[in-house]
Amino acid sequence: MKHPHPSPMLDRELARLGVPYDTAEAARRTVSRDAWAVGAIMDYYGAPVEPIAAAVVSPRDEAEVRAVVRWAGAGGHPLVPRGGGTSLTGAAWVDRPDAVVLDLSRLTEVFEVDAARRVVTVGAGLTGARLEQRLQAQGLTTGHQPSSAARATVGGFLATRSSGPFSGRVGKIEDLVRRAAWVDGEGGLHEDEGPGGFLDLVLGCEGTLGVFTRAGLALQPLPEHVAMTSAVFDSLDAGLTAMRRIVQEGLAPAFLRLYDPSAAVQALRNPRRGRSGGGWLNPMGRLGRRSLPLILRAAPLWNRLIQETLPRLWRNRYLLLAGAAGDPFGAQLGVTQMGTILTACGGRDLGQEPARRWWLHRQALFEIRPRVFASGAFADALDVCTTWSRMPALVAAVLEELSPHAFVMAHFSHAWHDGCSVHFTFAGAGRSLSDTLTRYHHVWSLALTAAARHQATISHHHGVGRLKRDFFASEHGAAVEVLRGLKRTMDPRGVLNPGALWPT
Amino acid sequence: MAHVSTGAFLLRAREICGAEHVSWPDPAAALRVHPATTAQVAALVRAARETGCPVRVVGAGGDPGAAAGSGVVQMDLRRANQVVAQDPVGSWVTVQAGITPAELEARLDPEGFTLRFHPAGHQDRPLAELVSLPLPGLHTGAAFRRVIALTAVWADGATLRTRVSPRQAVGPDLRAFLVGGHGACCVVTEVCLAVFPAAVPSGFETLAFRDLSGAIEAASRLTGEAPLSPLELALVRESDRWLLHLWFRGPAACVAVGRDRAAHGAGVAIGEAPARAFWRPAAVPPGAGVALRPRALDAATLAGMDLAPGEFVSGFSFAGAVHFALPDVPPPPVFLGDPADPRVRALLASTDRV
Repeated sequence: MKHPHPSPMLDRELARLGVPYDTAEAARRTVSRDAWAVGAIMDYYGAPVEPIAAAVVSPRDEAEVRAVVRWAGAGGHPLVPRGGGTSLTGAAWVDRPDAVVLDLSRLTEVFEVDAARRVVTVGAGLTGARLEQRLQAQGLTTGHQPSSAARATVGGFLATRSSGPFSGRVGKIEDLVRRAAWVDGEGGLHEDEGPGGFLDLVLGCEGTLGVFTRAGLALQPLPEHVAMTSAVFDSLDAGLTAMRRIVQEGLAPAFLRLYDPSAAVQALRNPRRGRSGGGWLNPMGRLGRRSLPLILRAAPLWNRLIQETLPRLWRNRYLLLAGAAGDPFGAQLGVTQMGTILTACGGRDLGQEPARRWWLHRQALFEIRPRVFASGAFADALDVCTTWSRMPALVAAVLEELSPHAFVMAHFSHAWHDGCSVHFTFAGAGRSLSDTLTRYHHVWSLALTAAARHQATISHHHGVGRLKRDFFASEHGAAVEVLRGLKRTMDPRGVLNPGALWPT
Repeated sequence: MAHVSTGAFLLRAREICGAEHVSWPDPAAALRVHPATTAQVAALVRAARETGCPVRVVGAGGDPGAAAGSGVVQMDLRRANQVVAQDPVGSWVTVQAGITPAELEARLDPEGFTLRFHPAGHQDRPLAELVSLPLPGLHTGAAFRRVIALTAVWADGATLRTRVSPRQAVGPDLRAFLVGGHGACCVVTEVCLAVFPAAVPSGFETLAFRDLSGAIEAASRLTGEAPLSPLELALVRESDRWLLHLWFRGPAACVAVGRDRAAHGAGVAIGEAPARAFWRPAAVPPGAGVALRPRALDAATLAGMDLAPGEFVSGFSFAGAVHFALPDVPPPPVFLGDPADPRVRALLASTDRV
C-alpha cells in the first residue's frame, strides 16, 4: 500500500517547530515498528506492517523534546517515543496513522563522568554499548549490559526497567539510576532522584507518563577478573535449589543461569565453529525455508521427546552456569564457594568451559531470531518472575500449555534473594500469514494466562508494550486505578504512547 | 472536604474498632485510634474523610507534637502485629504493619530466620512507621527493595495490594513509591519482607582510623570486593578517632578471608567485639530514644561531612552511603492525603473516588 505524503499542514507545522523531522515514506516505515516478532512474521509473507506513522521527529536536545511534546499536546498528535527500537513487546510500535514517532536517538550529547560522585550523566539516546565503551576506556562500568545493548538506549533501559546478565552483581537499571530528567505529557521538565520516590513511578512507564532525556547512573570499577564454573543436575528442583542457596547465602554472583535440557543444548554451542549461535535453533535455521516450519509443526512430538523421553535416557541434563567478578583471588574464592553449594545440591562439576562458552556468545540469541523468521517460522520469549516456592509449578504449567503448540524451552537467568525470573523461548510455524499470527497470539495468550494463574508477573525485564497490555490490569489489581490516575496527572491530553502498557 | 466533626468520627471509630481501641482523653488533644486489620484502617480512613478529620500515621514523619491538636486522628497500628504468611523457601514473611522489628525478630528466631534489620533507634517502632520513612541503603540496597509487597489503604479509602514478586517490569512500581512516602498517600497495613537464614556464618571486625578520609576510602574499597565484601559497614566517631564496624556474612571461607583482608588493610584492626556489639539486632543502638533521620550522601558529600555523637553512616555503596543524622528542626507534620510534592497531590486528586 502506498502511503501518500502526510498533509501539507502537518509538514508546515513541523517545519515551523524547527526540530529535525522526516515525512518520507521509507523513513516513516522504518520507525513504525520495533523488534516485536509480528513485524518479522509479516515480512516473511510480504505483508506490509500497517499503519505507519505520519512523521518522525528527531529532537537534538531537551528543549526540542519539550517543544515537540507541547506541539503534540496542542494539536492532539499521539507520540510514540523511540530509542533503539529493540522492544520485543511492541512498546515502540505505531498502531495508528496519525501517530508521530519521537525519535530520541539523537540525545547523545550529554556525557559527564563525575569521578568524585561516581556517577555518569548521560543523554537518553546513547546506546548501552557506546556508553560502556566510553566508560570502560576509563576503567569504569555501569555493569548494565543487556543483550540488546548494541542498539538499545539508556532511555529505553529506564522506560522498560531493563535487566542485564550481571543483575546478580549490579541489580536492574532501577538499582543503578541515581537521578533522571524526563518530560511529561505537557512538556514539563522533571528531575527526580532515586532510587525510590517519584522516579519509580516513571521508570518502566514505557513512555506513557514521560519521556526520559537524561540519566545519572552509578558507576563501579571494572572488575579485574571473572571466574566461572558450571554443573549439571538431574532435576529442575535440584538446580533451582542450588541457585537459590547461592544468592540466599550471600555470594553475589556476577551471573547465575540455569537451563532446561532443550535450552542447555542451545546454550552449549561450540564457539570453534566460527559463528555465533548453534544449538537447536541454528541447525533449524539452516534447514531451509520449507523444512523448519514442517519440523516446528511437529513441536508436540519434539517437546515430548526432549521433556519426557530423553530424561529417562540422559541424567544430569539441567545445566547451571555461574560466575563471580572481582580481583582474581576474590572471584576465584567466590566460584569455589559456589562450587561447594552446587555439589551439595547434587550437581556434577563441569568446570569452567560451558560457562566460558556462554560468556563468549552471550548475545547470540539476538542474532539467531532473524534466521528463524527468515525460514517462515516464529520465535519469541516470555520472561516472567515469581518466588522460589512458586517457580516449579509455574514452569510445569507454562510448558504444559505451550508444548502442544510450539517448541519450547526454559532458562533462569536472574536470581534474587526471594525468587527468580524464568525465560521461556518458543518457536512455532503456521501455514499462512493469518494462521501463523493466530498461532503466535494463541501461544502468548496461553502463556500469560498460565503465568497469571500462578501469580507470576507478566514480565521481568522485557516490558509490556502492546503485546501484553491486556494482562496489565490482572497484574496490578486495584492499584490499576492509581496508575490510571497517574496517567491522567502526567499526561492529561493522552498524547504519550497511547496504546502501550495499558489499553486505551 | 466536609466540615470537621471529631465527635462524629469518634462514634464511627468506636463502631469500627471497638470503644476500647479509641481514645480521646482531652477534647483539645488528638484522637487516637488503634485498628487491628486492613479493613478497619480502610473504614477509619473513609470515616475520617466523611467527617473532615485529618489523619496521620503515628511516627510517619514530621513533628508529632504539631500533629497532636484537636480534630487530628492519629492512626496507631501497633495492635495489628500478626504474622500473616511465611515462606521459608522463598525467604519472606508477610506481617501486619504494626509489628516492631524486635517483635518480629523474636518470632523469626525459632524458625531459623532473622530480619537482619538495624534501623537505629527504631527497634521498638512499628514497621508501619519505618516503611513510611525514607530509609535508603539499609543492608544491601535501598530499604524498599527489601519490601517485596505491601497492602495499603489509599487516601480515598481504597485498599491496594501489590503482588508478592521479587522483581518485575510491568509498568510503574507503586511499592517503591509508597515506601518512604511519609504516609502522605496511604496507610501501609501489611508488609511482605525478605528475611534471611540465621545459620549463615557471620564475622565481625572493627577498624580504627585517625582521619575520616582514610575511613571512607577503606569503606568504599571494601564494598567493591564482593563476594568478600562485608554485608554491612557503619562508620561512627569515637572521641578522636573514626571506627568502621564491619559485619561479614556468607560462606565461612569468604567471611574468614574477607575479615582477614580487612584486618590487614588500611586502619588499625581492634578486634570483633565492638562491631559485634554494634550490629547485634537487639542492641540499644547509638542515638537510642531518638529517631535518627536518614539522608542519602553521595561520595563527594560523604568526604566532607562530620558526625555528631550518636550519629553514624551506614549503607555504603561505591557511590555513597546513608548518614543517620540527629533530627534538626522537625519538619511540619505529614497528613494522609496532603503530600508536599504537588505532583503527588495532583495524583491523589485524580484518583479520588469519594
